[in-house]
Amino acid sequence: MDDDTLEHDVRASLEPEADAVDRVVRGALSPHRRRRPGRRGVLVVTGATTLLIAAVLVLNRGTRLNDPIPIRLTNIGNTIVVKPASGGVWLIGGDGTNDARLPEGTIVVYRSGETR
Amino acid sequence: MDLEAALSELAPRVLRYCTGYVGDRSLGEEIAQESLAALVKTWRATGSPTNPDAFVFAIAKRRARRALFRRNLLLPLERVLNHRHPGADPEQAAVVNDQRTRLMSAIRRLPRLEREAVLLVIGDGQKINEAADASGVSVSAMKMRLLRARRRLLLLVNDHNGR
Repeated sequence: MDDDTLEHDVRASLEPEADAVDRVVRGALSPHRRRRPGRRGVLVVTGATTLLIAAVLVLNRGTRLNDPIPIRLTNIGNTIVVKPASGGVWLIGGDGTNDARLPEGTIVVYRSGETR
Repeated sequence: MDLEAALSELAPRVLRYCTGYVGDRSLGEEIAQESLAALVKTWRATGSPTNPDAFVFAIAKRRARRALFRRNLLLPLERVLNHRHPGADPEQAAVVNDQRTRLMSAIRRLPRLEREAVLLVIGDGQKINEAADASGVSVSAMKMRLLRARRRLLLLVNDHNGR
């Protein structure tokens, strides 16, 4: 294929049908033209989605914060106060003297549920 | 020139441009209509723009680029959702073999700047300096684009014919 034939064929391939031209002109002049969602619509949808995701994340975080803590350890002087969520208070150490110290590396093991 | 006459003169030209740009008659028609509707709106609000041709083609170019970007963005999703089948059915194969569709596909495969040069100079029949003005480049740059585009088009078309 040479240059002239190419140009002719390109023009022919792009030539619109008369119906299509009519439709385009009528559509452009019509006041009731169907509009695609514009940039504003896309922004609104994106914003709404972002807000929804943020709300879900915040609610999820709030729910997690309100979860009951299984055990709370508080150190008061040389006494450790252990308060399990199930109730009761345990005191570890704190024999009343300033010299009394828990040995380093003390581990408090808390086990919930029934023992079989 | 009144609005209806301007539209009648511009519609086939902008339709050719949009269809060639996106390689899809239906999408091209939609973009051409939107571009002409923008002209109608401006014309009715403030009168005729200084250069209606440049006004419409600038809008058409911008919208066609956006449409292609959107289509390329959504293509993987459509494939995943099976809206587009990779294999061609017999009807599709017949359409692909059609000379017009084959040339449009070749134009669509040109790099963007070369495609614009082909659509403005060969498709719309603009002079080289007019196309250069519309694209915001020098005349020599437009000539170079057109030369490269012609070579590439010939390669693409001959390659398809030789297959």
